[in-house]
Amino acid sequence: MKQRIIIPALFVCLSLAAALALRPQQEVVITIKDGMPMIPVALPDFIIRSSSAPVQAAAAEIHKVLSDDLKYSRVFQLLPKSYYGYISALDPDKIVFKDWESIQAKYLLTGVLSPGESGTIQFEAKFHDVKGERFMIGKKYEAAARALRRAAHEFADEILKAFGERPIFMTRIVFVSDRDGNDELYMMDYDGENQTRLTFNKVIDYMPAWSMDGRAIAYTSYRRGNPDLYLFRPFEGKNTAVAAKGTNFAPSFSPDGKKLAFCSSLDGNAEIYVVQSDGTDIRRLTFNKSIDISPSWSPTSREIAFTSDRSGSPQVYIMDAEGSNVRRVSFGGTYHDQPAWSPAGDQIAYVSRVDQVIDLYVLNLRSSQIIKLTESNAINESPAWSPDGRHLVFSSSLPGTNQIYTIDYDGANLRRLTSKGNNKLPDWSRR
Amino acid sequence: MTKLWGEDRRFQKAILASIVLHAVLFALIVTSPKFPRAGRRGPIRYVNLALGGPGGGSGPGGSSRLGTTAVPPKRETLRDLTTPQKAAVTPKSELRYPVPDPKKEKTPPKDKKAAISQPQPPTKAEPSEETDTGGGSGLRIGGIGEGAGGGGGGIFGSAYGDQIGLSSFPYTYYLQILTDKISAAWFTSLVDPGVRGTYIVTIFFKIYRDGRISDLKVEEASAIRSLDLSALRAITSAAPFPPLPEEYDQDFLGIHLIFEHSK
Repeated sequence: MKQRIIIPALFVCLSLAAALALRPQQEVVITIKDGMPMIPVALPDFIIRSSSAPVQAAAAEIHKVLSDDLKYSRVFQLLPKSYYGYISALDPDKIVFKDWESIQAKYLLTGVLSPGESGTIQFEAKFHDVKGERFMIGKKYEAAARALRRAAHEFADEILKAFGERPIFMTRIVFVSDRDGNDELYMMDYDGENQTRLTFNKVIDYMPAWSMDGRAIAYTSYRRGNPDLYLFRPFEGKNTAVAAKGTNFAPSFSPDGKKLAFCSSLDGNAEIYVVQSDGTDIRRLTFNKSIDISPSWSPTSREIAFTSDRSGSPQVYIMDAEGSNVRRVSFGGTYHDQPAWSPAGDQIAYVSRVDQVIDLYVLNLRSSQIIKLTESNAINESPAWSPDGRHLVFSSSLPGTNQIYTIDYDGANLRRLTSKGNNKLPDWSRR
Repeated sequence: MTKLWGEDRRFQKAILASIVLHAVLFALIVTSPKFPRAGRRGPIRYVNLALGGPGGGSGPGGSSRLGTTAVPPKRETLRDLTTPQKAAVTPKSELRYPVPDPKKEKTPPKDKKAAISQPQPPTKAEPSEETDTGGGSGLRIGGIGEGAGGGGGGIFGSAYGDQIGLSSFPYTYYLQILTDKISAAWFTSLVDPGVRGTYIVTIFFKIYRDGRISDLKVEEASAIRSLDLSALRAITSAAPFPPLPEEYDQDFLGIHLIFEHSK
């Protein structure tokens, strides 16, 4: 009798258990079309734990550099200072994150300055996630007054890296200037500060190009009377010849750092060549009667963009790194030159001449769409991308003399970097 | 057989037991949430999600939205981008003014940041044309795996997203909190600046009863890695979420979050 009850009961229980186990879990689909255009960061005044004037000045300088860096990034947006008046004063040891959240800060950057040993300044920077109420990054610097800008740039780079972005604030721009008489190479920070002369040849040095590691500069120099290609290592003081026959110019390092493309009249006509970065194994890539110049590597090192007049007018072409599979990418004009491949690989900046006015354009390789970056009655030329692909540096005759400017990828934030003499042919280091 | 029925009580009991068991099984099946039913009326709450937006949305069916988003853009290699066929596409305008000055472009004001939709079983759906009655609404939310589903969002007019409330997860207020938090943590400035056009990435994750998340993964990648990463970052940054509604009787909620980046 018991068996008769137990078996059906067991069966019912098992059925119920199975039904419960098979109960479906819910899933929903949500579509989000818009996010926040930029990351809102609060950067209140730094806490100064000293009344000495140098520390006060250092706090102001570091705050300004960090503020300028974050604003320039196109990734972060600083909250207006007036917002900070609505909440209680910052106590770096006990941050009330709810206060900062209430004024729409997503992240908070705090700094504390105090005097260090032997005249140095201590700067402690912290970056906080306001919503998560947690500390994200922190660095403590002890630096002399002249190195404070560098400390600020370095911390700004740390913030960029925390968001998966390529750091740009420690990068440098190399360019050619005649401010001291003849065309020589100069170098400056990305924001135009610390302009330094690199070559002292009293001959023409031009068309510099950074190596991928930012330790070497390839350039053309007339130091032996002929426009030869040299490799200059400014941090080691070494200068070596790479190509010394014919006219050699417009060098461009491959992103993998292994090769150097350049233009040369080694065989009589201006053609594009590739050489190993140590100066060995020169190979010719283009073979035709027209002029092929201005090589620029794709970020994968598999292709090279260049200018050629093989169709009758200067146009931008792309070829494989071995010289094959040449295809034209610029159309609709009679003069396109100086291609510069973007770090993401989906855009090529170049110059185009219309009615004796030369402006910068950006060709989007995905959509074939062209954006005109500059619009001025001047000559804007020699574009080079920043490592994050959000800015370009170029030279412009806008003020009457040639000067170096930067501009954002969408034509915003035109910023002049130089003012002395004539400055041209800039190249932005990758790191 | 009649004789057997009349004489054998054991046989009668066995038949009765069988009937009872079948009835129990049938009841379990019918009461199962998985069981498709046309006129099921659950604890539906209608919440105005298209705050300030014209709203509206696809009518019955509504699966077309999911259908279209389920197909990611074809991954293109750098070589694809620079083939002669691609490169030969002539820019639409003359070089002097190839495109309007980006500074002068005026984008129409967007209505709201998200839209709610309900995915439907593809086979049962009505013709998949989107009958967008009210323009873009913002939030689109919908349930998966509920069988009959059903449309009808369009009839709610501008105030509601399409098919809202017919999801088997009726707590739309919770989904709105979720969407608001993730939207606020999705920073599009982290996407490559050169990206033009519309790209979609679908992220899946589970929310447990206490609001914690797990199983975060890219379900359908876009062709833009920085977009995929920005979407993942948005969810991890927005988490943890509020606890699931008390009335919700399951252990977790699966979310298929579609990030649509247009530029």
